[in-house]
Amino acid sequence: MIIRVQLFLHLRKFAPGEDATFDMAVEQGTTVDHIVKRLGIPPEMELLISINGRHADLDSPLLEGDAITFLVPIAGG
Amino acid sequence: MPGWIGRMLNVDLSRGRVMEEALDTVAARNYIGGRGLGIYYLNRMASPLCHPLSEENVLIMATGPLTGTGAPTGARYMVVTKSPLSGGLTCSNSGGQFPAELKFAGFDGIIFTGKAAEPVYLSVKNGKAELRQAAHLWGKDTHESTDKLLQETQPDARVACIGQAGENRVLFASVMNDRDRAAGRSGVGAVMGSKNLKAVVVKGEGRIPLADDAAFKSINRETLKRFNEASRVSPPALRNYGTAYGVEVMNHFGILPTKNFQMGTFHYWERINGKTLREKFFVRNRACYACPIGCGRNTRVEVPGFEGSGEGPEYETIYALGANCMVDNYPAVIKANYICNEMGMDTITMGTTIACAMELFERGYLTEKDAGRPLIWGDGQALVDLCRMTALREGFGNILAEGSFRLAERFGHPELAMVAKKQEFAGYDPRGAQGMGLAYATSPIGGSHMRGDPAYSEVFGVLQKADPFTAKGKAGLVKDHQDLSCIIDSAGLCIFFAARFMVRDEKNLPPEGILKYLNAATGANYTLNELNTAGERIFNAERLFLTRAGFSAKDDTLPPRITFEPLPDGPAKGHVCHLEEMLKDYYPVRGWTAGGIPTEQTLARLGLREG
Repeated sequence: MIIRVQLFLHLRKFAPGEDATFDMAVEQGTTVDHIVKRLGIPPEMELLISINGRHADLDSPLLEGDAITFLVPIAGG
Repeated sequence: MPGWIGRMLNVDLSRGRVMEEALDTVAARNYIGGRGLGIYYLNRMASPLCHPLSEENVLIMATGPLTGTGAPTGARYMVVTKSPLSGGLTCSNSGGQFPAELKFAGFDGIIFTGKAAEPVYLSVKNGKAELRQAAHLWGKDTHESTDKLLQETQPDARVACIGQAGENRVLFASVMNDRDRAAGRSGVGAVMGSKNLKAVVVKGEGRIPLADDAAFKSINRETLKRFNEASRVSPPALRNYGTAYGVEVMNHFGILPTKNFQMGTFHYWERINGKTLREKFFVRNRACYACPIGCGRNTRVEVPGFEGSGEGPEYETIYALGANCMVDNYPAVIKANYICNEMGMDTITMGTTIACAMELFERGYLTEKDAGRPLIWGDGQALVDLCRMTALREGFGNILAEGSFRLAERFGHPELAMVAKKQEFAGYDPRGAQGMGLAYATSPIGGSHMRGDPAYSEVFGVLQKADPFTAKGKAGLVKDHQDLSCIIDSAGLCIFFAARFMVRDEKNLPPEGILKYLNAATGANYTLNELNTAGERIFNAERLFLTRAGFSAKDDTLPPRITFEPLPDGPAKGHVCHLEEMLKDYYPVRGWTAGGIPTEQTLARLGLREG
């Protein structure tokens, strides 16, 4: 199945190409941690993950067409 | 009295007298400092019914017990007064170097009463203070005034002042310190202008005594170690991109207010984001006193017509002057920001008032004759021109100077003002961050993200992650964030650091790091419960001021656009803000009546009963 991945801020460097937003082909039943590993994001890096605009965790499952985003926890203002 | 200096300055502008008074030690413990002490003195000294721009109003500048101590981001002070924009309370916050220097100069805060007959400024140096004439500074902008004052006093002094906007009583004029740092919101600068007070200059060599130096140093080491470790793995986005990183994030969540909150995403967001700022206009980082982050940024624009240099823009400025006016011309947005800083105006209210005017024009409620020009979405030149005209109250600027509520009301459509308590919202559309809607509606100062910021939970996921689209459970979450903001603002800290490194990510957001720092600095031996209660006390003391000024549940509102019109685009598409549902839960959680008034039991529990 195909999912869409978007990387923010300095996480952009883990994108496979130029674009920080890209599609990925993954197996049915894939969870977020699998994507993190595939992108090479260090496991100790604290991540803020959302799927379709809602907060998610490393063990959250993914479905066909999901938009998954990776941010780092930061403060606002 | 460690942590605190133990002295306040009382400046009677009408009589030209400056008196020193001991800080009320019981109040200092119960209200911590900064924002808390501000409302404590305001409730005692000002009539909530006074005209905000009359000599009866009282203006308080107050630091916290951690300001200037070397605690990370302990750099802040609050300006507390009755607001001319909302007719209620305001407590506006700023960092930079001025607040710490005020303590080094020997005072926890300054209370201004009355009105000077002629323009004056206050000079404070090593425990001595005097009023000096400032006629030669009147009409000068904040940069010119600062430079002149530093020449006149000493070059390493620190200055807080108003620009032309404050002198002209623009209802959202700011108090600027260290040139480009702003106590921006709700018209604190207009109150200063109405008192003929142009500036405060401070210089001191004093040290701030700490109750337990060794414990303080050890807490500092441990806290900074955690910060440095987190930064090594993940460089702070605030350092790299400034708060402008928010454009990318808020657009992604569909809550970047666009076209006067008619949309939640801006097609051209990449033209005005933090990365573009960094690549095209960045000069260097700027950090406030004792700040390890350094989110401020000096910038320079060389594009003809918009040339300038200064600090900013911050995210809130970019939302208001950029996306909300549909201006994707970054040099124009930055130039408008420079003008607001130099002339001393709040960029949020300025931008959102122009956005409101653009919508009124588009709908035909306001004509070219009224405005003196067409007001077209995305017109960067108009943005720049209107900022300057507003500060000087020239032409249509005289109407913009009253903020968006009065503008929209004047042209028959108050529902188009994106305000709570007549103050413009910050850059988070509440339809895609439900708790933020409740926070805007119940904030003591009206539309603000800083007097309780549930976006940390709903958007940033930093403290107690919460689903942005659900209203359920938000009453308690918003109360927790509001009370936490009281503690952070009163201690003299910055939320950017405190929320991540001094608060535990657990239910009720226990501020354990702040507790440790406060106890080491002051020796007050607060328990966690006492500190939380102090936060709640401060929030309720503010509500009491509002209640006495005539505010109640009828004023805890949002415009119909937010509660009835679903967002048409982005991830939050189809959502409205369920304010009524959240308010029903919120008042009981607060211990307030259904009319939004603190009950006798609540006041008694918090030690706020009169008598």
